[in-house]
Amino acid sequence: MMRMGRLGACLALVIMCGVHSALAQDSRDEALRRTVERTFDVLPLRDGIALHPKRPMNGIRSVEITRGTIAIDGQPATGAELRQTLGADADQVLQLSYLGDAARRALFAPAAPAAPAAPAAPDVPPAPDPPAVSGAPTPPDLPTPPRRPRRPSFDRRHGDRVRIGGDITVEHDEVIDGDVVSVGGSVRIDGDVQGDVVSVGGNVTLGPDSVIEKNVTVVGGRLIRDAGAEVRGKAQEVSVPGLEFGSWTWRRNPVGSWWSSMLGSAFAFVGTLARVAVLCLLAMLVVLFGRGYMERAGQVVVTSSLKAGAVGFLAQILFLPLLVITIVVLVMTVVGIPLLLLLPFAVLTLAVIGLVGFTSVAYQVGGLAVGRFGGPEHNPYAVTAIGVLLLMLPVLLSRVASLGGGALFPLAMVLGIAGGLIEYVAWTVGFGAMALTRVRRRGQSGVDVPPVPTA
Amino acid sequence: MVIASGAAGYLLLPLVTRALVRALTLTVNGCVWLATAMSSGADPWTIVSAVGRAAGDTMATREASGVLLALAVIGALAFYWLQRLLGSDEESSR
Repeated sequence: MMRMGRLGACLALVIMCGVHSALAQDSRDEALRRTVERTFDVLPLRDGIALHPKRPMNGIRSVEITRGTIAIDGQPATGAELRQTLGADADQVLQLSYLGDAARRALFAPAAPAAPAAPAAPDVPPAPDPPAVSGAPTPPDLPTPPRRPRRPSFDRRHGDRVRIGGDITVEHDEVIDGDVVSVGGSVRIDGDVQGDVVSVGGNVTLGPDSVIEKNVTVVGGRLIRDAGAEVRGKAQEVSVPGLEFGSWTWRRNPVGSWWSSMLGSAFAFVGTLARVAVLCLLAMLVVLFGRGYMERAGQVVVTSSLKAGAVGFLAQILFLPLLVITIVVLVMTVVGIPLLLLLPFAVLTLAVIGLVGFTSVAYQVGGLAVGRFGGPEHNPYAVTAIGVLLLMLPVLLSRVASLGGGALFPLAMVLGIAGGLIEYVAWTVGFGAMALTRVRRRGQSGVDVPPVPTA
Repeated sequence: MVIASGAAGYLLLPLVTRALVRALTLTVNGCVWLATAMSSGADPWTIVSAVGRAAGDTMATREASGVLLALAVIGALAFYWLQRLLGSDEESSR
């Protein structure tokens, strides 16, 4: 019963929202109609409307809006020309042009039978209208058409559309509120994009009805632009000599999709194997050159792992603000800009500290496993490698499961999330353990300092 | 805890994506600008001072100042707690 009540309340809320939205749109249209009628006499035409200025307006006689095109005295005009000619009144005309033909006719249809419309009719010279609308002498080179009307809001998609390693298509009836970014894939736009369009390593194709509010940037690909495409920002094409990825295409068919998915899974598996191998190698290098650090950090991991985790997590949170603020300060001082070259070295140092910490965690995990199941417990290299393998095992199993296809997807996902979490915790605890080791050594060295002799 | 993490992820993911897109766009535009400036024969200090001026102008906007302030607050809080944790550990190790 309560569920029914909630359902009814939700339904009522949805209906109220819909009604409110429709009423708001109606009131906006009505306000636009009143504003236009204060400035112009409106004459409905067969496929549009004609606006006759009520007061002198740079000598123009009429502005026609037909099929989304604006013409001044029969000559098609761009938005800029319209603003130049009509000044502030151009906004009303542009807003009218954003409406569909049917909506525009409907907006002024009720006004026709109204009483005040009758006296207005004689003021409008009927004779010049037909030639003005038909526009018999069309100029040889037409200027660019005015802004297209916005697509209906029900097709609007909020946020950005980002894809790495795949194509992006924005359909005719789509409006993307944010940016469209593709890395390693091509972009085709037939709808509206309110933000930037960026493609790295792929082509960008702009269809005849496409509208891009901001910039279009293509790196290592080609910009294929239809004459009707509208880019309101800048279009930049950065070609990388010797690199042209633009001809890569992804065809959508079930077999192709399955094959590309399997291929992707196989690549991911090989990539993870390579990562594990590299981590094992780096961990062994740490054992070779920094065994003392690693063992001390390992002791901290065993005795205060929770505290090490907290320190590592706080250090991660501190990292981004510190990096951003340092960059901003260096850039704004101008003289500090060359010092930005040192930042990668600082980040590398942190990465090395993190690696030593991770190795210490792997060493402890490997030691536990060898102690429990037996193995080469006197060989620190083998123990560390076993630890790294154990820490990465869920991720590896997830990659293996994803090779099985769609049926094993839930298992692969769960293993992948668990593996990612385990790896993250290992890095975090390891980093924190390194920080705690440093602090504890400093504390102990503080005890060893002899008291300052007094006179 | 899991629900809170999920909610935080749901809220933060679009922001992170947006920031990533902005950073990518900015980097690409910056590279294009730098290449254009260098090919036009501008000397390094002119380029560097133009970068500094542009950064200053950007930081003067309300959005950028807000982001920077938020980052500074987050960083200060993280630093405070880090210092407390490490400080207490140093004390106990003496």
